[in-house]
Amino acid sequence: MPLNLGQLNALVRGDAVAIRGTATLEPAGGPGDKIFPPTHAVDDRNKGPGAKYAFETRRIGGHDVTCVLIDSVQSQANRMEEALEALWSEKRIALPVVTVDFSSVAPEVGRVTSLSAPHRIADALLRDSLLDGQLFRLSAIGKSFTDASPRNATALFKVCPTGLVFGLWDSTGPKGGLGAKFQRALVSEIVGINAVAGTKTESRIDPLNILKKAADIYVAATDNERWTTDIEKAKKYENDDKDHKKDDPVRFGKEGKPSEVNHGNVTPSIVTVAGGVTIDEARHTVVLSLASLRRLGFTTGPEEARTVLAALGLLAVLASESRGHDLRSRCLLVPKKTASLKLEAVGRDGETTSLDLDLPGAIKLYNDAFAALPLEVKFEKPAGEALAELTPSPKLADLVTRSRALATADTDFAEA
Amino acid sequence: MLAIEVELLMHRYAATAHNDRARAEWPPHPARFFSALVAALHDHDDTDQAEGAALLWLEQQTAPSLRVDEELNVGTRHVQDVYVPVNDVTLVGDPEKTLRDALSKYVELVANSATAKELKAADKLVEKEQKKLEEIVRAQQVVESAPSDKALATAVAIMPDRRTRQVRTFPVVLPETPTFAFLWPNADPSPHRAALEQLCARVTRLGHSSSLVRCCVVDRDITPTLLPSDEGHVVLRVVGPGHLERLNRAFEQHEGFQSRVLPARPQRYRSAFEVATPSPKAESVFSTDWVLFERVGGSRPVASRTTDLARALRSALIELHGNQDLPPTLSGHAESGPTGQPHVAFVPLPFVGNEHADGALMGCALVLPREFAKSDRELLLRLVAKWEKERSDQGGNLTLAGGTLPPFMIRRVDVSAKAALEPVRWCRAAARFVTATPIALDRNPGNLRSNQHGTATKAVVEAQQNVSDACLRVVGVRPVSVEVSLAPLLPGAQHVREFLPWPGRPGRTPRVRVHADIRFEAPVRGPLLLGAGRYFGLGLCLPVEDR
Repeated sequence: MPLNLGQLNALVRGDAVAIRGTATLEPAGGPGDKIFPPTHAVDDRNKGPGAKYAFETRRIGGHDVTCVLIDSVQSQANRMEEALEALWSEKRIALPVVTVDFSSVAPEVGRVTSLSAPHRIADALLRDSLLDGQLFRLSAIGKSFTDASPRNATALFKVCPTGLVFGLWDSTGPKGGLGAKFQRALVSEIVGINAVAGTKTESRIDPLNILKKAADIYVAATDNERWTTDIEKAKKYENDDKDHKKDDPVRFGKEGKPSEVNHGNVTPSIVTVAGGVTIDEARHTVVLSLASLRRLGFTTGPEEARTVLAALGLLAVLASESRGHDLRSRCLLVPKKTASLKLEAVGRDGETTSLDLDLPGAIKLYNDAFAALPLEVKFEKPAGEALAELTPSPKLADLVTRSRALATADTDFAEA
Repeated sequence: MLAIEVELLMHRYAATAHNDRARAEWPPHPARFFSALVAALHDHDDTDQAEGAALLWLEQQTAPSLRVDEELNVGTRHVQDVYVPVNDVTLVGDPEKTLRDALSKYVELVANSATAKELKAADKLVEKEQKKLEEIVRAQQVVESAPSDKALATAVAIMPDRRTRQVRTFPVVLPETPTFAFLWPNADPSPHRAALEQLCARVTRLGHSSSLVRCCVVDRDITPTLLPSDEGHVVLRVVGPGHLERLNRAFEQHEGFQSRVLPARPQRYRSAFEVATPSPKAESVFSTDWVLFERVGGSRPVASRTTDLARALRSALIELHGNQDLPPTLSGHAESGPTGQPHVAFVPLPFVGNEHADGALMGCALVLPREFAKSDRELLLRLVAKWEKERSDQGGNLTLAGGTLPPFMIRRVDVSAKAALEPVRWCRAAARFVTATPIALDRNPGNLRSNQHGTATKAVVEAQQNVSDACLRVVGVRPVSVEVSLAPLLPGAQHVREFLPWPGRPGRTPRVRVHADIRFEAPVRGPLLLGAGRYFGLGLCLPVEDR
């Protein structure tokens, strides 16, 4: 029997400390296929195989087993928020969401919401945008949650309930470090068991077989070309400098080689610091702390609010699960047969009771919990409609346009 | 018996070691757990009386035993740098701040019944700030024709795909057993049981917010694996009486978001599987109760300057005390002259004994005598607190200087990361001690450097007898053997000739100093401070392995 509202109420109100989910996953290409975990910055001294991955040693069955982090807590949280945003834009759930649309200015960024912004509703991007011509944090909605705290979370619940589930710290708002601070109640992580680092190769064969010495490439003087091999048409330096004189042609990139404009071969090389790993299996563990939700205080309808948050948490987990674990390039994981996500309630004394819930059940559970909210905290807008649609301020929009234009001109794609 | 069980719900524990941000903490420190209980206590504005009383009772108990996977059996994740997006990139910032300040000033003036003129001025300021704010909002509509580089850089950095990132480390420990327990076998929690259960139910995490836990009081018998013991090798931070008060006071300062150090006291633990070594019968007249100061800046003197530093430390406290007489236990002087009773020793602590030791003074300690009246102890601690309050700079650092000693900056610490400053390093029971700083002999033994064989040998024997007498005076037993040397016997220690004459006062005969390697029949508990200069850092001995 799928978990219903009454049962969830009992768990949230009663003795269940948490709801935990575990699943065993394997690479989509089958066990033994290579996958690519997230990379981290690596010290120059540390260039052993797989140095860029977060390896760890676990004790399993009395032995040391090498494992590797495949998706971190923070990354999983982002994915769960993305899944919730998808459900909301598909109009399947009602959720207070604040949006700002940068599509006209930065199409690749598109619409940013309180679910996708790095710091949720407290994010700098929302703070610098406008709601009906007023700066967001000076608007009624923006001011409403400034004083929210775990003792009184109602204001934040009304504008960004996901902040109460995934955590939020309004550290750069009007109250600075004393701003609204909430711990996360939902933690999810995927770890690969028995990981062995591999190698990968990098190379490119140029279909045109352009040689390195074929020509010198210069920056074009006119705007409708980026580069040219004709010195007459090259842009010239305007001043003398230590490595060039006035009226010297400007080389493209450092040395004006064809590779600077993406032509030519790339010598094949073998990469071991980030050459992927093979694993026996991957374990996905997710915990929703009901005890954390119980510590939140509300002025109205505390029980109902906590149940909504619990349902939202479960929905986030199952929604993300249903989208599959396509974590990054060459890292697609699928559940092992009979080992897909299983939920259990963890009691005060450690006893576990298994729970049954799938995505349609979770959507229904959330909608039912939502409907049970008292009027003062209920969200009025229908599914798919935002609580507030912010607009980029003309000043910011112009700056973004200009800076992105400059970036293209410089071909300076700095690592984020 | 009180047993509190904690289950790591994600089967992982993420907490940074208190003395090394790049390492994970394991086992979980009892002091950290106590802080989690205090956080739970403050969930509500009006803290529950019974819960508060329960914590006051808990802090009075002795350090708990632990049932926890030993460090050998615990997996760790290689600590990698993780880049997290910042939130302080902004074009607009907090535009309301000056208006809020003006408004609160106005309100304050009204409350204090200011004059009409002052009120009018404040009111005008508020109006001015309001106009400024409206101007800032209007400015967001204006597109600048030639924006500054800074503005452009901000616009790039604020977009989510290019957001500036800051490095953080997340060290994680993966124990085989997901549960561990804190045990107080001799405590009777009955009157506080219900309150403790309530508090435990509200402990939702331990360490980083991703270390979700389940916590409850349990009734079943749990065998400990880690026991508090002065002979142990594991040092954990624990709490003591007055801890709740300290945490509350500290909170008033940091308000939950400024960086701070958890107050705690260090407690050694040993594995329950090791055979307990019996407590030594002989112990030093000096106690293991030290007031520790760690060097945080300024000059880097080596051990040869130890007496200068000790004198500077003593002078600082005496000067603070003013003209009143210090009790003999602190000053070492009674009305009739030097007191025979052991009194407070001022001991700079050098880094010696390790392969890479360089003899640098890492800090200093006030070593209290074992027989020390409570009132004297309180006086000393008050003096130290006064010193910190009146003379510390913005960072809470104190400066020692004096004579030829360049300024040496220190800060009081409960527990230090530096090995040289760990009291137990100097205090553990051992059968063999080697001097870190030379012993100043009470009587001149003769010419140790004499070319005439007979003279030198006689002097050596005399010096050995001297050291043996000194041991008798400090620990109550004579050693079975003493070797003396002018050259240092420990890595990092210095030759006696590098040390300035002691006492170094006009009209006082300088003492002969020697290094010594002292062996006792049975282990003796330190700290071993020997010889005439023992109250000023000379004759500090390091317990070493007996080979």
